[in-house]
Amino acid sequence: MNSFGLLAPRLGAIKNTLRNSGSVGALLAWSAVVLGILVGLFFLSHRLLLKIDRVDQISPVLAMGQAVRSFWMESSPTVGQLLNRMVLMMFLFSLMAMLLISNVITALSAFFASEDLDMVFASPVAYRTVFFSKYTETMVQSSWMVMLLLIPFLAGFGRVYGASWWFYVLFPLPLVPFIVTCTSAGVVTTLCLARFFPVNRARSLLRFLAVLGAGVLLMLFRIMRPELLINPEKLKELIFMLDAPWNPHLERLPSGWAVKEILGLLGLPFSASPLDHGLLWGGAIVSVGLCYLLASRIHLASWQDHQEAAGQETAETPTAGKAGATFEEGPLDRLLRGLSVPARAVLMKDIRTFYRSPVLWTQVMLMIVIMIIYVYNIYLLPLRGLPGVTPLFVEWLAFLNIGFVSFVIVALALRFGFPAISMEGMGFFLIHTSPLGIPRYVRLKFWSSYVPLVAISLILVVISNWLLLVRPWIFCLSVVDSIVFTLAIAALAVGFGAYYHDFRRQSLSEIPSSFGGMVYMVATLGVVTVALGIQAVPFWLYTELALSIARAQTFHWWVAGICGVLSLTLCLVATWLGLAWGIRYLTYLEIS
Amino acid sequence: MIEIDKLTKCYGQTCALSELTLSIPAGEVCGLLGPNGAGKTTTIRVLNGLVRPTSGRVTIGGFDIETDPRSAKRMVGYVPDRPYLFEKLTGHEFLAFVGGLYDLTPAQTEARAREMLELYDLTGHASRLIEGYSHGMKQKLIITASLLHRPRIFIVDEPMVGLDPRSARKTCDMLRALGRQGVTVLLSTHTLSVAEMVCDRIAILNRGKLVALGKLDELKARSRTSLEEVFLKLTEEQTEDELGLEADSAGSSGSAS
Repeated sequence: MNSFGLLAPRLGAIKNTLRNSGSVGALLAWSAVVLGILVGLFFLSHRLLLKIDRVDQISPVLAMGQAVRSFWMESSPTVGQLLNRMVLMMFLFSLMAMLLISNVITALSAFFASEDLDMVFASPVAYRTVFFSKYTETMVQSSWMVMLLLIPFLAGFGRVYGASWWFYVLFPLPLVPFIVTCTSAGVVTTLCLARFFPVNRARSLLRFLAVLGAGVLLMLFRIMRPELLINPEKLKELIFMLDAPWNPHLERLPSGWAVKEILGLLGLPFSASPLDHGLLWGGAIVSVGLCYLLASRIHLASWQDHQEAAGQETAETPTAGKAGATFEEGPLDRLLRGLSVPARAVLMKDIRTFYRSPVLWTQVMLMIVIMIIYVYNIYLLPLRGLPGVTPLFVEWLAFLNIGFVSFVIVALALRFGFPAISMEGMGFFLIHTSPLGIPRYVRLKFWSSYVPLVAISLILVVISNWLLLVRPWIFCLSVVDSIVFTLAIAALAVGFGAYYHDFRRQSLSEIPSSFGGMVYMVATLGVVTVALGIQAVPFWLYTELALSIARAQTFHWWVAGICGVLSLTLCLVATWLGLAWGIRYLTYLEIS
Repeated sequence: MIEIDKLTKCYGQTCALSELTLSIPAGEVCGLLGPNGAGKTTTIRVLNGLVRPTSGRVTIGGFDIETDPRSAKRMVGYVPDRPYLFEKLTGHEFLAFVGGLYDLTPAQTEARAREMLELYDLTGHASRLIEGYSHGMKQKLIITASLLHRPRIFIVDEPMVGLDPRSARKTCDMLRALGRQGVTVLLSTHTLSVAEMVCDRIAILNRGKLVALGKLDELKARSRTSLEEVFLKLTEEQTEDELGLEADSAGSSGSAS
């Protein structure tokens, strides 16, 4: 059997999943969304790269520099080309770092935690076959998304520099050795890690570090205040920074060699030398060879050690801490004593599962970062002493802020409320066969999502309104809207979560990005937008009155009343529908 | 206690159960036998409300599983064929959770759980996360959990899978003891020796139909051989008529359609 033979079950599983994924419409909708994102990315990158290419038209200092360069070097690249080259260099360098981490995590699963390894190692298949099947699996799983993102970005490059059609055919070629080298580096790191650390802990630690790194990067990016780059002088500072002496080091990495090949295809004056070609392609081949040599020596032994360690862990791992060691009630049990016994049982189970799942914690961290950035954005708004910033402007800002906060809450509900039912896994049969009853269970899930979500929503609204120094009436409106909108958001999360449940999914982090998650997001944002849109009617009347652009001389409270009731009714109906749908669906759900 | 009346369950064009009629009185240990795909697990899932019948009626202790599922479920303890548990909980926490689902106070849960954990030598392991348990340990834990609320009806799907001989013997003894205490037990198994050892009556299913029902001696007497021979004959690619067996004449309270 060859390596592809070993991969056949996985390919077959993907094919069958696609075949059985339900309606063709859903598949088409998914494809349309992905295509839309890619096209959007293409236009975005094209616009950005075009701006950078014409940067010498923005700053007189750069224009003068360009003139001097052209005088001395006839075929020298323009400042824009130099900058775009640096952007691509840094982009691929960042991707290389991401690929490395992604490959290490994926290789830990493929080489050590995959369920087929028992059967594969027990069979008389040559190790070379095992290695290349696992290597291919790691490479494809960890790199396909990166490749997908690179396509619109590089197509944007081609468009900016008027590339001919063969550029679009050939540009993926240099990416192949680039990705192979990254995979080899990832697999080698994994093999070395697994030799010294237990696989499960290494995987959790790496995931945690990856998310922590992403969070820190997001924070740093925001603290840099990129909006200041609209100012040409600030942009000039960035350009000088990019052109700093440390940058040539980037050229000596696989990402640098790949960039040179890609730019060479564009006909820009940075074509790769034969040494660069040799390093890129030769490096990839040598890296695979070295990786195979190392794997053939230590993979099987490390896997066997891991099996033994897992067995030992099963026999020896003591407890999950003092809390689970006896039937004695912990502080949290005592805190929830006011609830009924079944409600407390389900809630305690959810809380315990939550704090023992590192995957969920990493998502919490990212969400905290997003919330901090949100408040920081409000804090940075230039509202003091600027002409045009009237109280009315601030009130509109506060009104729109209700929508933005709701968007953050929908994102949170998508991460934590929507997967709440799927998180039960196949253990859901215990709920279904118990006398707890589905209606009670669904209501429990709703409240356990609603309470934290509304708390976060209120915190965001109160802090942002406090920073905006709004008047009491808009403050009260924001608070009431937060409470009411969150009802609909949490109930729809439970309803959609029940309908699009997936009790067999291995990774919980995949549930929000599923088709059901997308439908939930669109539907819920639709409800919030309409509810807020209805409220915008009296708000607009109030604005007209304040600016004296309307004929009416008084504010019609009845309009405000009707719109308020309509908006409230919409949210309450959405809440009721979400819960009723969830109850009905789960009551008639067949678990086989 | 368990009344199944003309129960049919179809998945699309395929019928897993066809007009099954079976009655199991209180205190009886009834074994459900049959080859793979005979409809045993489907029957058990319908009894637990996990799957809805296409037609027919099921009552548990007098409560219709479709119209009054909560009352019916309150009386039932269920052990599925695969021990799906919440892996991030410890054994203690899991039992406390299941106790809570059945509205047991922590003291009630603890008293019953200690007894069962002791029986299965799980006391020393109950403070560990379930993800570290072996298959057999998970099976023992789920049996423990299903008996916490002292059910009047105990439905077990393949209970011996993954159990070591000592635990298997303890489970057999426990099932017999439950029967003596007046608990109705419906046991689905492939292990004929277990059925022989434990069951008062045996129902044999084949292709979704009840092909035989009766006490062990009655079934053996009919073909003058062992239960295994009876089972093999009844589940062959032959009709009941060819075998000369009429399932509806086999037991007083059960009938095959």
